[in-house]
Amino acid sequence: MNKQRWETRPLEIWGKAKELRAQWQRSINEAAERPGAMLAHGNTGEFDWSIGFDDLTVIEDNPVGAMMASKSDAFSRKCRLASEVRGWGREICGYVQNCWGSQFLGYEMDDGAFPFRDMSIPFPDPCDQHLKRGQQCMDLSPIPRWGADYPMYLGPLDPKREQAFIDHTVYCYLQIIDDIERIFDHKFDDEKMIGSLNILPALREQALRISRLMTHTPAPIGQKELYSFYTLGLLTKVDPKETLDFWTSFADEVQWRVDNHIAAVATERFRWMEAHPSPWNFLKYFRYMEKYGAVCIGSQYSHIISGPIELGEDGQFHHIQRKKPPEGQEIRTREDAFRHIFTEARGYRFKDDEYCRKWTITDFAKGFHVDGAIMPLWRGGVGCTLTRKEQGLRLSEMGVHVLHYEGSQPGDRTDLDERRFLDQLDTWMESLGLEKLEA
Amino acid sequence: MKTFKEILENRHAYAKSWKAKTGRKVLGFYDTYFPEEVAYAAGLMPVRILAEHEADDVTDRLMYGNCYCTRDMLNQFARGRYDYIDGLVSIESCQWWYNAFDTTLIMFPDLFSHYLFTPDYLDARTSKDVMRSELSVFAERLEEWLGTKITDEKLDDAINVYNKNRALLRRIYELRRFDTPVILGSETMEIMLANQVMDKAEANVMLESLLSDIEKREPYQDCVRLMLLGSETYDVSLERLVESLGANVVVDELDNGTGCIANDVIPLKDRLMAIGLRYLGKPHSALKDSIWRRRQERIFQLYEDWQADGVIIAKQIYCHPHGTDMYAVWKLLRERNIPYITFERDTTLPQEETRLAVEGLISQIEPGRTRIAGWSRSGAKTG
Amino acid sequence: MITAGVDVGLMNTKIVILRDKEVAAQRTKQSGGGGRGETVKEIWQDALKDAGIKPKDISKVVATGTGKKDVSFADKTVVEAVAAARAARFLYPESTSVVDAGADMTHVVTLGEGNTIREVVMNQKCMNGLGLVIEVMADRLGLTLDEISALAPAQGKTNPVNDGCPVFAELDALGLLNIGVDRREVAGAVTDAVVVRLSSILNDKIRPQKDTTVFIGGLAKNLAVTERLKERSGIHFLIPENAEYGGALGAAVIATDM
Repeated sequence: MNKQRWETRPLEIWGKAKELRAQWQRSINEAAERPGAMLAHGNTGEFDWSIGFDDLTVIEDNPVGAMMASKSDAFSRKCRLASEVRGWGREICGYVQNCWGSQFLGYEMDDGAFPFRDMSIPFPDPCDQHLKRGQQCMDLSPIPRWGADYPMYLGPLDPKREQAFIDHTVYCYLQIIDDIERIFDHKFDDEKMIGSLNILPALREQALRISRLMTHTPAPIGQKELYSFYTLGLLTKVDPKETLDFWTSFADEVQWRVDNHIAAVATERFRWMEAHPSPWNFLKYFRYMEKYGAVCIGSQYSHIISGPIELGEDGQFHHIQRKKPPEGQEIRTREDAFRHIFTEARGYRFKDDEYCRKWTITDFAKGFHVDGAIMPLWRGGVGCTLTRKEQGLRLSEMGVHVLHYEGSQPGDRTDLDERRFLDQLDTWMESLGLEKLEA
Repeated sequence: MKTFKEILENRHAYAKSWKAKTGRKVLGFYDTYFPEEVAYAAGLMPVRILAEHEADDVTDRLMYGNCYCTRDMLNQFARGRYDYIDGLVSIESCQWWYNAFDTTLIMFPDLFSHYLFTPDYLDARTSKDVMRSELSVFAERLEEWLGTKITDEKLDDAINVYNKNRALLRRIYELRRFDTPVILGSETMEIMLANQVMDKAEANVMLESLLSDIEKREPYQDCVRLMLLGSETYDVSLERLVESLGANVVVDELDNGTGCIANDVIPLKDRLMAIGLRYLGKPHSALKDSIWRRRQERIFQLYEDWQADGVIIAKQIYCHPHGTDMYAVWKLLRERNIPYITFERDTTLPQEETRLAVEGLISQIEPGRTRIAGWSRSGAKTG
Repeated sequence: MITAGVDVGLMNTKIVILRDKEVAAQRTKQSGGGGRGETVKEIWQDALKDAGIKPKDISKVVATGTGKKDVSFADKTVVEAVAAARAARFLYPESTSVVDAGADMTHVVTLGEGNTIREVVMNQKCMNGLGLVIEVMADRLGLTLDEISALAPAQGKTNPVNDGCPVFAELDALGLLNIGVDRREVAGAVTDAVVVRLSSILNDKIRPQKDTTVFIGGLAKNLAVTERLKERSGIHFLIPENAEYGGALGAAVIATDM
């Protein structure tokens, strides 16, 4: 048994991360004060197109609901009860119940008024709940709302389908922008949006550096750090350059930790991965696992900022080569920009790793040299659970030890039996011959 | 009537015998948004995958959190009940259905399979174009698979057969609008379910004969008239329970009830576009009713047109589209003072709890209900 | 060398005392709910008396089961799956898997080389308390556990109850009673539902082998369960005579290594 102990220390980038997080919260608070500034979006995805609207703040109910679950169990319970008496039951996503339950109540965690959504765009990816969630704010008041498909298909690349899907998606967004300009008199800055197009690839490069560094033993950071930072810059509409600077500094610091053998867990002797997402009210299981010297190196979900990656023959993760718009095609208009975005993104959304490129989960396990995988099974919210059992089987077949635990949804603690979960961890670890190194 | 019931109960034998008789192939599908006309024009018999109540000890290995229906669909494939299916199609729809489709293909990778994107955003200007494109891709794949050409004539024939089928089924629903209907809710649902697993040309012949017989029937007595909402149903146990308590389900707003017979393909020169428009324009399912809500008004219209006295909402456990819509449906029913009950179905219909709930609803409705005075079971005025 | 294993389950506490790896005494008693710690002490005294020894004669005590932390005199605790695995290999050295199903949890353990474990599958929450369901139903139906165990294979096939969730199964069963279905038929239907769930756990990951799978725990004593499960899964289980003591035996064997 490995008895090595490594040095641990907190990340220095924490201060900057907190600053960015506070900046995002300020932008929400300010937008709530301005009429016509708040857009409820079903999924903010990889690229924030709303960067072209200075006067628009995009808010998705996932982070709002997750935050409530993490910060106040009592409040999120109130929200869920408020939604339950209106007809929502156990299969409804906890994020949805928390966020819109708060709207039903009329106030937020801090007793402030629930920010009025001025418009809404539901989105079918990556979960049906994302598609249906946009209606709640419209039920409250007849605000403008649009849809946006994210079409997919299985099987080999089909240029005809690609073209039809891109045309459809681009048109949906152009219509949304036209309507927002017309209804709210906001001006969309084409140049600003076009100018921001090169930020995302640069951001992906920095995130990929971190993902690669996390294949090292000892792992320089753990899942908790990834979860703390992964939304920064993508779900927030902060200065793109500032976001990129943050990720560059973050990657530099992780590199420094690898060079100096700074570990996330001092006694690392078991590496595990997980599937998304964690129960936000009960993150202490990471610490519990550390007692066994077990470190979580992340999940496909928490490494998402790297973009779609694949394991190369050199044992390193690389970006999957994305499709490029035809050579010499300049991006001059917003339509060009959207065509560029959707051409590049076709087939590379998050769920594609579960639907179309099923091997990525086993590649992930291989690349990060994991011994085990903890795969949550959530009863509410389809997207959080779809394919999880199949993935567990595939990992198990390749020799990765798999543990499943159950709960309602990451934003809903109702069905998560915390004691049982910890007992399961004990069973899992002890059956693999590992014992606690600390009480 | 007996024949539809028999076909439903022996649907696998029916499909096998159809294959033996015609030498053609069977294509399985899940959702009523699937444009059957295109498959029919290719010479296939589209068969809807229906759930059953069968003990399931195989799907836990591959699924978690699904509604029982989609679990059972996989369960039946695993047990070989669908060994006659040659191909399987899924569309952009409920993810549990997608899961059943995808997981079945893990077990049976040699099946012909296709994923057809039907927009979730039904109302965008380009939705019809992407739908048209998808139908054309699907038609090409079928042509390649079957070595046949889907001509305009074949599409016209399929459109006619399916339009006729929907019109005949609508006639059955119209008969339920009578104060003393000649057909019960359970009988209607048996026809609807059998129709989804049959060759539609044959179903049409049977429906015509049935309609001419049924209109001569003695009507049933006037009784408490109920409307059924919620997740799709795959058997008639609930309707029978309602009837055993002296009431009748006279109308539904189910995807495999009124939802799949409400509108027709309007003939156009571009046949695929015509078919696509029919599916984009059909009454929204709970899932696809995701932009401006249309379900509520449709529910109310059906409720009024069929003179229902109350509503049963029967949702499958873990049916998230209907779970999410419950808020809007409850709001509608509460605002309009319509009596209703809600309960969850699982692998079996919980008979006792359901009976108590339905009895409660009937007791709530009966005292204040205006009876059709003087009308007897025979329909002849007596008073 | 004298060692002891204590298995504190949801319904019953079991103790096995081994003298030179031979069973010197075994005892079981109802766990006693909230006062579980006291019950454990009482039954411990009885077991010692049965074996004719004093506490100081015992080299090591290992506790297991859901209430293992209530065994104040244990030198060590082990999880149920580890105890079950050791019991299986101790009783049947050629065994490849062990199913441990009691009142509360069900574990299916795939054994590795020597005393290692390759994989553990634990029941999903909807399958918790399978043994408890049978006990509760026996009580409701006015039948003894022996009477349920003796049910004919065909009993319960006509009116199935929900096999996805034990609580729904109980509700369905009560519904059947209300409409006059014979209580043995109802008991058979509930037994079938329990068996379907057990079979589902067996199918979850690595499927246990046909002739080398051991079945221990309280449910292994129920003939109606084991026969129906055999029929459904095709597995010819190796069932020890005192199957309910499996966990305690495994714990006592582990104590011999300490």
